[in-house]
Amino acid sequence: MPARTDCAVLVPADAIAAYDRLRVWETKLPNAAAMPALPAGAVGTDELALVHTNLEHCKGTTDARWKSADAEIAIRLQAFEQERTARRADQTTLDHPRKVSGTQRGTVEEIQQSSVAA
Amino acid sequence: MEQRREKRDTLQKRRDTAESDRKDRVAKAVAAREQAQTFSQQREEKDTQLKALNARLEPLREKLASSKAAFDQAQQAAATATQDRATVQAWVKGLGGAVVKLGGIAAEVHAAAQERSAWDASVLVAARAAAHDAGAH
Repeated sequence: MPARTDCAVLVPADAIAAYDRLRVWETKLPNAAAMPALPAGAVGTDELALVHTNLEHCKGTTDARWKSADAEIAIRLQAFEQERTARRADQTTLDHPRKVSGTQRGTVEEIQQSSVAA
Repeated sequence: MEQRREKRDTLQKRRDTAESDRKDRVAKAVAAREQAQTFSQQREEKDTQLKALNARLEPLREKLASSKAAFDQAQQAAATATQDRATVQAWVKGLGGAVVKLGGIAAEVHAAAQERSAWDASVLVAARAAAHDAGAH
């Protein structure tokens, strides 16, 4: 991260790393908004106002992009949650199998128990 | 004569009893064999059903086993993504505060600059001169 050459100093490293990971995980996520440049050397009054204006613009861009990114993340997480639910259901079928077909009565456990009893 | 008849009756009774016992034993043995055969058939039927059920579940078992590593990895990635999402979300929310804070600083600096630019040193010099003149008189 550049040292005080732009407003990137306002972005903590963990947030940058987190968004980078998110973009690897979900490639549909947009690029992070570029932070406005800071003037080199001492900042005058007018320059400070300009930096503030640029930063406000950057915030607007960031908000819009994050809204889009957050929606994509939510979709991806929801898709995974559905996958997890389906997998758990499959695992439950294996652990406690119900009727596999209408012609076969009882569960595997019941059949095992009655077979042992016989 | 009477003794012989009693002895014969006793022997006959014993024979009858023995025959009855034999028939009971044979009947019980037959029943036991039939029951064992029934149990054996039931066991075979249950084993067949169990094998059929396991055969039907085998593809599912294989599918879950073969996809376990990928699923575990996806699960870990989703957990990390959830944490990362919260981290970025917190920063985005906080960015507004940082911008507002910088705006406040910019406004203060601007006000100070305006005040400084409005400073007129000649007024102070004139006031000092006036005070000096008043003191002289």
